[in-house]
Amino acid sequence: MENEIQDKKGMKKTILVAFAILIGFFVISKILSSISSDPAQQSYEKHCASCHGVNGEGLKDLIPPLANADWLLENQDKFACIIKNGISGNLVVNGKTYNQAMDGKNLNDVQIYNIINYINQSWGNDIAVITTEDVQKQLLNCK
Amino acid sequence: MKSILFILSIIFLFSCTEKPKELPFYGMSVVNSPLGLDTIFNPLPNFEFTNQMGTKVNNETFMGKAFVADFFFTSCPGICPKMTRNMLKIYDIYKEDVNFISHSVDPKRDSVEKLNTYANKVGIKNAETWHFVRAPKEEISKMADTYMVIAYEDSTVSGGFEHGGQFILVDENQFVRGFYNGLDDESVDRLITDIKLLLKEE
Repeated sequence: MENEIQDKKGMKKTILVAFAILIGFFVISKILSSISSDPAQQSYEKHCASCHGVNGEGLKDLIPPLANADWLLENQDKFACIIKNGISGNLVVNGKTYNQAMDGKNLNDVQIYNIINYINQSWGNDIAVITTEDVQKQLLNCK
Repeated sequence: MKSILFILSIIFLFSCTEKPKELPFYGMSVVNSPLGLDTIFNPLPNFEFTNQMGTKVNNETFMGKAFVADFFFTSCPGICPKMTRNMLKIYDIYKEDVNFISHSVDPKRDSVEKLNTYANKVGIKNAETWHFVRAPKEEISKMADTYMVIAYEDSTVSGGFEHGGQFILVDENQFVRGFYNGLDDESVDRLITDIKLLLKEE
């Protein structure tokens, strides 16, 4: 009889421990996933990825790619202003003509700095990292 | 302790039972019998638009197949590409079983030619399944009202048009069966499962 009670107690304990471990795993995985996504990537995914794609691939013949795009390399000096104010008209990217207007984004200097460097360093892009001063200087001289 | 375990096991039990789900009907309903037991919904009213091939499309074109509808315009600098991207995701899965209709809210600029160019740019080479359509302004608002979504000209917003990002699911008999946020991945995934349900129903 006493043994049975002991057994039951033991089982309850095991169940409780199992629950605690499960919850622990859940919490830890949540924390890990929030740490691993960096703010630059988050900004890119929030403001740019819906058109340009999570991998900078663009959208068919409608939206130009950002990954391995010659146009991007040649227009680094306008990059911040384009993000801030948008762009329209014909763009020839990697030999293909695109013509879909892009809205300016209501972002601060740091967000723009983060996005530019994220794009410049992702998906095989290897464009020099720019500084926050570069971004600020560009933004003061947008045409 | 025992009671906690009991409650937890009940929760687990219920979380596993899958309820057979049927999609609701939307729209203005008419209560039919004196007892109010019979609710009858109205299907879409008569419509006629011109698609990207210059062909007239109407209720008959879409009858017998479910379709997904949205509102956009080709020179949209904001949310439209994301909607098109998500619509393409659904199109890739269901192009055999479901039709698609994208209503331009900008009849002034979106000529048949413009619609055709846009369709081609997103890889839709003919209008067999996915129609990009234009109509006079009044017809567009009428259709938006029928779907119970927003679509109107507004010079204060970017691009000049205010339109919701919804996807509307219409069944084979042209009853509205679901609304989804075309800008939200989870909502789009819900639409994908709902279409499966709807196809089973047919």
